[in-house]
Parts: sequence; C-alpha cells; structure tokens
Amino acid sequence: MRANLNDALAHPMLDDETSLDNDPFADAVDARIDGVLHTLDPAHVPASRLVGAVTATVFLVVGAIGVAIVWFVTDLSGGAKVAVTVAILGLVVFVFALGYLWPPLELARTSWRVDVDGIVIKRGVVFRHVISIPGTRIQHLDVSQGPVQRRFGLGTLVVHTAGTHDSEVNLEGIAREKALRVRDFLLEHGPNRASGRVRGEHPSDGA
Amino acid sequence: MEPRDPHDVFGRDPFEDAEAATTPTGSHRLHPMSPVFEIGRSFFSLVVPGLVFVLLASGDSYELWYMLLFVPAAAVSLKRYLTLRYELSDDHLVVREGLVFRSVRHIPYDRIQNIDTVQNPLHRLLGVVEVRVETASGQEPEAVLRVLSVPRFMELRAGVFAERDDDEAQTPDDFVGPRAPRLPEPQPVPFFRMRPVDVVYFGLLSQKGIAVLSGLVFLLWEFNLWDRIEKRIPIDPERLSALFPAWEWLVIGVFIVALLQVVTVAWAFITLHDFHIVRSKDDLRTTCGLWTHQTATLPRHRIQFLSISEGLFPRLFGRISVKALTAGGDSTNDSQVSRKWLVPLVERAALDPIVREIQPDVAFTGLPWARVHPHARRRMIVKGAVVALVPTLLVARDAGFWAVPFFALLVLLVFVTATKRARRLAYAVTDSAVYVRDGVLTHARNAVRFSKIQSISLRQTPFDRRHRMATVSVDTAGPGGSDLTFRIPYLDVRDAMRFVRTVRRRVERTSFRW
Repeated sequence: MRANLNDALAHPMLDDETSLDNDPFADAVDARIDGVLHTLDPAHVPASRLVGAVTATVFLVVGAIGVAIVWFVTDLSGGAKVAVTVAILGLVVFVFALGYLWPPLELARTSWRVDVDGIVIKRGVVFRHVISIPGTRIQHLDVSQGPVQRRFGLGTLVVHTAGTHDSEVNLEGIAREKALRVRDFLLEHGPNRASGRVRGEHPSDGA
Repeated sequence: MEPRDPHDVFGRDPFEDAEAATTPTGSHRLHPMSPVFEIGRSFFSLVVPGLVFVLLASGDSYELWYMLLFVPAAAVSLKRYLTLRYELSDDHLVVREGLVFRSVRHIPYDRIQNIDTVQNPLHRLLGVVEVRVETASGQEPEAVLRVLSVPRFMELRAGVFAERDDDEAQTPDDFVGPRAPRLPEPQPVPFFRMRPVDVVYFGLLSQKGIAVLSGLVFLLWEFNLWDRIEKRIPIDPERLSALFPAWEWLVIGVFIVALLQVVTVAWAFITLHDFHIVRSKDDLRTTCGLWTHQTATLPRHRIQFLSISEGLFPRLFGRISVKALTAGGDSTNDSQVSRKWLVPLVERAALDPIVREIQPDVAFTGLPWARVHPHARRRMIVKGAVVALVPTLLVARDAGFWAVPFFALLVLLVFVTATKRARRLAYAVTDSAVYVRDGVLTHARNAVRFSKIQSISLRQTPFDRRHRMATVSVDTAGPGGSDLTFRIPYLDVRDAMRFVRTVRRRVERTSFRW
C-alpha cells in the first residue's frame, strides 16, 4: 500500500509548479480519455466578461437610482450625499473591474482531466478545490447551455453522483462539442460499468 | 394479469381483486383494522386538542374549529384503506393507491434501504404493525403501510430481502478484505443487547426529564392552570421564604433534580427496553421499546457511513455509541431511536465484535493511523486566538482592563483544546475503508468503505496554501438532514494528494449499489 501512495506522488494534482496559464492541450483533438489536464475553452473569458458586464450594468442602473434618490429625495447633509455617492460609484466600478479581471484568473486556475479512474476537476482562484469523481459513481450527466454560452459555443457539463454535499458538480466553460464527447465517453465507461449491467444505446446528442 | 382497458395504465380496477388478495403472490390490502389507526391519528391531532380546550379553558379558540377538519381527514383515511393495494412482484414492491387520482408506485427491492416498524400496545393487542419502507429518494418514506398484520409484515420483509440476499451474495467487491463474509447461516442470537446499566447511563446523559417537565409546565401555563394552582396555595413567595430556612430550599432543589433524573431514567427504560440487534444473513434487525415496540431492518451493505463517538461523560464511564447511516429516511427524526443510534451505548471493551457484525471489513482498533501536518496545532492556536479577539473587544468596550485577563483565559482554553485536538486528529486508509478520528470533548471516529464513496475533494484556503496544507473530504450518499461528513483538515498537501489518488483508484475498482 505504501508503494501505491508513493507512486501517487509522481502525479501531483495540485501544485503550483505546473502552470496552466497557457493551454498545453489546445491541439488535443479528442478530449476523451487522454488522462491529461485540459483548461477551459479560451472563449470562456469573453463569455464570462459578457455576463460580468451585464451584472455590472444592473448594478450601475440600481446604483444610479440610488444616487438619484440620495440627492433628490432624502435630506441628508451635502457631505453625507457625496460619501454615499462615492461608495455606490466605488461598488459599481469594483463590480465592473471584477467582471473584467476575474474570468482570465478563472481560466488559468481551472483544469480538468478524464482518465480511467473517472473525472477530476480542479478550480478556484482564492479557495482551491479539487474534486475527483470515480467513473463508476456517476449517476447521470447533463450538458447544458445558457444563452451567453450558446453565443460562444460553450457548454456546462453537469456530473451527478449519489452523494450529499457534492451531488451535482458543474464544469462550466468548455466547448459544447467537447462536453458532449466527454459525456458520451463517461456514459459509456462510467455508470454501471462495474456492476456489470449492459447499457443499451447511449443517448445521442440531446440538442 | 393484463390490463382490461389498454388506456388504463394502472391496470385493473382496485376494487376488483378480492380473489387476488388471498394468494400470497397477488396484491394485498391493508389490515382491516387500519382505519382505526388512521382515524385515530387524525383524532389525536385534531379533536383531542379541541376537547382539552373545552374541558380546561374557557372562551372560543381555533382548536375548536380544527375539530371540524376531523371529518374530511377521516374520509381520506377511509379512502386510503379502501383503495391501497400492495403487491410483492419478482423484484418490485408495487403500491397502488387512489380513487380519483390513482398512483402506482414500483419500488425495486434492491433500492429499498431499510424497513422500519412501530407497534404500540394497541397495535400489539390487534396483532398488527405499522410499516415504513424507505429508499434513498428523500426524507419521506417511500411507502407507509399503516397497518399490516404481523404475518403479512414478515412476508413482506422476507419477500423484499430474500431476493436481495441472493443477489448480494454474488457481490465480491462489496465487502472486501480478509474478513469478507461467507454469508453464514442465519443467527437468531442477538449480537448486541443493551445492558440495563447502559440504559441508565443513556437516560442520565440524554436528560429527557427536563423536556418532559418543561412540557408539563408549558401545558399548565397554556391552559391557565398555573394561576389556579397559585390561587389554591395562597402563599406569596416572600412569606414562603420566611417560612422555610435556606437549607430546606436546598433540599427541595435536590429533590427536584432527583425527580428529573428518575423521570429521565424511566423514559430511557420505556423507549430502550430490551434493545437488541439480531443479524439474519445480511440484515441487521434492531428491536426495542417497552410499550411501543420499534423495529428497524437495516441491510448491512446499505450502510453508507459508520461513526462511533464517545461524548465527554460516556468516555468517563468507558462507554461508546455507534451510528450507522443508510441513504434512507430522515436522520433528524428522533422518533426512531434505533435509526439515530444503532448501538446507543456500550462498553468500550465490547465494541470490536459488535462492529465486526455490523460491517465485517471495518474495525476501529489496530488501524494504521497517520498524523496530519505537524504545524496543525499552531494553526489551530492562531485561528482560535483570532476568533477570541471578537469577544475580547466586546469585553474591552464595557470592562476596559478586564479584557486582558479575559483574553489570556480564552487563549489558554484555545491552547489546551488545540493541543488535545492536534494529538487526536488522524486518518487511516485500509484495504476496505478510510477512517478519520477527531474531536476534543466528543471523540468521534468515522469510517466510510470504498464502495460507498461517491466523490473525493481536496480543498485549500489561502491559509492552507501558505502552510502547504489542505483539507480532504469524501462524499457519501446519506439520509436527509444528516450533518455527518468525512473530513480530514490540516493535512500536509502532499499527503492530501496521495490520499485523493489512492482513494480514487480504490473507489473506481469497487461498484456502488446504494
């Protein structure tokens, strides 16, 4: 058992030495059981920024209404009005900045790998999280696509397990085509494989 | 049995299978006494509160209007009895119900997590039993059969689990390791029987007496009886205190506390009377209760999470408790004692053979415990000290200088608990399961078998990163509302990575069957 543990060391899953700033697997045509780390699709950055911009705009509108109320409805002192305005403005700028700066960090800090033991997803800019789901424990899989993702050809792979805390694990921001292929692979090799049940036709593209 | 009408997906009319009810393979109705219990339930929840109000209090109240709801509730109960049919097919339990809106529920036997029963004295008098069938689908039981005759229940249990026993016997990877079971002959001798002295301890530790007594006081207050009692005894407290010297008040206090203990122990003897566990093939069957008998049938291989814990006081008495979670039901439901604690309290020395009966490939002694990061204690102290700053600042605001000794005291406390916890915190990986031990006041040891692990996580906070540490956890299926998690904090990040990798491989080699 000790040997087993040691050989595990040869495959660090969470070390800062392996930089993922560039996508070393951009030319990996088949994102299937290659056992290598994949990054998210680079299109995740513009897609996320778009979502961030929309969110920030909502903040801007609400903030503007707030500022208008402070200036024209309430009877605060001049200094207080300025302070509230600056605070609101600061918040809006912060949300805009976050919406712009966060996605590249996310892209650099998220990676995933499918191998014979299942799927591993590694993510987190500040709080790091590596989650490993053995293939035989996958209950079912979804590929979903939101309106913004559709524009950029992205999708979200959703892995469901029978667990309690992590019963649904999302991998957001990979190319939809890739997500579908990974799903098909995991369906074929994952659920019920070890229990010896024969799977019939596996579902084709649900789009 | 072909459906007569091809559009009637529910098959035959529920009223038309009188002949089928007599054959053991056909469908069965509930016991004819069922409406008594169903209506009884509505009676106690709707009519009794109203009656109590009429008798004890004056004025109108919503409880009186509630009484009117009794009529539709009783009608629903009667409908349920008249339309419910269940059937033991080859691999499904089929429950049909409904008159206008019909439902047919197919519950595959190999998805049934456990079968619980409740039998109060009235049930026993009539030879019937209330049965709950639970799957992993949520907090509500999949099927509640209120009520069945005892032979019918035995037939149900045998039918449900007979199929499964054969099936599971062929599962080599479910129980692994040198102690893999060879499915010995059914063994009707209980492998655990709670000793009366442990029942006393359990009662004293649970302190249910306070709940009973405060419930009583609440009732008196609710119905304004308190005032009447006060009027009956027209002595005001000042004169009362003049009447008796202080030491007599002390006696009264001691008397009340003693009374509470008696109530508490009596409660324990009533609920835990004759608590024992029998193993029949792969099923653990617990039975307990003096007046109301509760049984729980829990297939061993359905246990997702095993936890043993020693609270501060049990530890002083050398006693330990065992908790076993399946994915069924609701763990927050206190009414089934045996679901909350598989073994409520047992001597530490007697634990090993019991655990071996519960899970043949799990043992809590002789494990290759591995330590967490050597700096774990230091981090706990720093974290504790920072947290202690918050109450200290509050004290400083009101009491100024006194905040200094206050903070010193808190830090001392943090230091002691951190030292104790760091010494305790450890994990182990064997051929069949992962283990963790943790806790300062309550010592807990948790075990999850590889075949029950759903996913493995490694988390790092920025602080973890700075100290090259990580927290790993494994996720299992569990009952609703359960707060048990398998978590190893403050691991050296390299050990954490090894853990994830090793466990992930082992898990992939086993199959999961609920």
